[in-house]
Amino acid sequence: MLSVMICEPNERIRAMLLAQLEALSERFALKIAATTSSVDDMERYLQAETGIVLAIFGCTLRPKNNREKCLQLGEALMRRSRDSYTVYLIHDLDDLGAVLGVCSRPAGILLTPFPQAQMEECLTRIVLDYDALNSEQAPQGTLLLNVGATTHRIPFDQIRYIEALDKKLNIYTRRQTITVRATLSTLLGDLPEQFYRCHRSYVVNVQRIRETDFSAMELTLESGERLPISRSSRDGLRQQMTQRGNGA
Amino acid sequence: MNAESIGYRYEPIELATLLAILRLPNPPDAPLPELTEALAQNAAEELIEAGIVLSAGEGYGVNRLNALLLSNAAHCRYHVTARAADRTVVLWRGSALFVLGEFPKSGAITLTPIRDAAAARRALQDALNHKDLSGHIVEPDPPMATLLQTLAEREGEL
Repeated sequence: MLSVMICEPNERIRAMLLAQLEALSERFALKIAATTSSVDDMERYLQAETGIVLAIFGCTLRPKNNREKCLQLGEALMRRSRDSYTVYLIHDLDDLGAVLGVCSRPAGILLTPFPQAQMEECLTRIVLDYDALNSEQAPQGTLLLNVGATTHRIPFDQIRYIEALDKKLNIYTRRQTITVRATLSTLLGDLPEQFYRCHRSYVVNVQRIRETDFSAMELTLESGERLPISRSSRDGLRQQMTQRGNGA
Repeated sequence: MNAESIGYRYEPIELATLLAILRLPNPPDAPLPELTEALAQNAAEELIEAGIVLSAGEGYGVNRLNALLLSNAAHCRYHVTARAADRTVVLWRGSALFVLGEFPKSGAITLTPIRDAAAARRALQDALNHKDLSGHIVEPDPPMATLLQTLAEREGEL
């Protein structure tokens, strides 16, 4: 569910946003969590409500410090979850530089006088993006991992192997080692067939195996890393390798 | 599923190249290979492809996270080092964070940023509790108890 919050001092603009979001909510899972004209209210709400995905900020010079606070809140939201979206409505073009200077990658910047078509295009693009990322098809082929409030999608193809160490798992990709608290048995249920438990403590991506040595009971990955093979998994691994045409 | 930590993996020559680009000294006790221009050039291309290094005119830029990790390791306040069955593990105490470096005898190096001393202690123990290919955990040199005591003493001196 795309949860939206609007902070816009101008009542007419706020009504335009609401009308467009309500229209979108007929086609997409979207809810307007709150609307306000006050950036202080927005701050309180964002502190209390962690599920806001899209925040729309009307940047004005009045009341005092409104613009700075909007930018701070936008950045805080992005720090909390990089999968969230922020849109800035620039009422005074002199504020554009300040908005472009922030590091929070806004999903949209709309300039006064806020033509309806541009506003609609911006909101629709965000909703479609969110929908694509969160549709049932999207997670297929990926492992979803939360780091703080950020969700990472790790494509299965990028995972080389997974190692169990005490009650933790280390998931190895080419560029990262991600440590999670889980068991191999639990995780195996979420992995596709290309993953095989070659040892009590290891699950390997069979597509990443360069060679297996069943006399030394170990396998070598394309990267040169070596993993042990247990006796109980030997025949199953041999079969997997044969099925995938890797030889053994 | 929640991730507890993320370590960043580099080939040894890539790490040496990153240090050279950043003009940083080798972090203490980091077993890194000698760098030649040809090796560095190849490694830089790999790092550009991975988005870790940006080509900027005639020079290179390193992304903020990697620069932070390496500068904290290279300019550490103190470090502790242990050698285990199949790896060397070094914990550097930087000004902003701890960095745990795992240098296996073969394969990729992992650098993990760690926020505080308690987490650093746990990460060090985990890194040294790795099983070797025969399934054994070998007591590190120096032994774990000595290592943890040294860590506590050095932290107390700061």
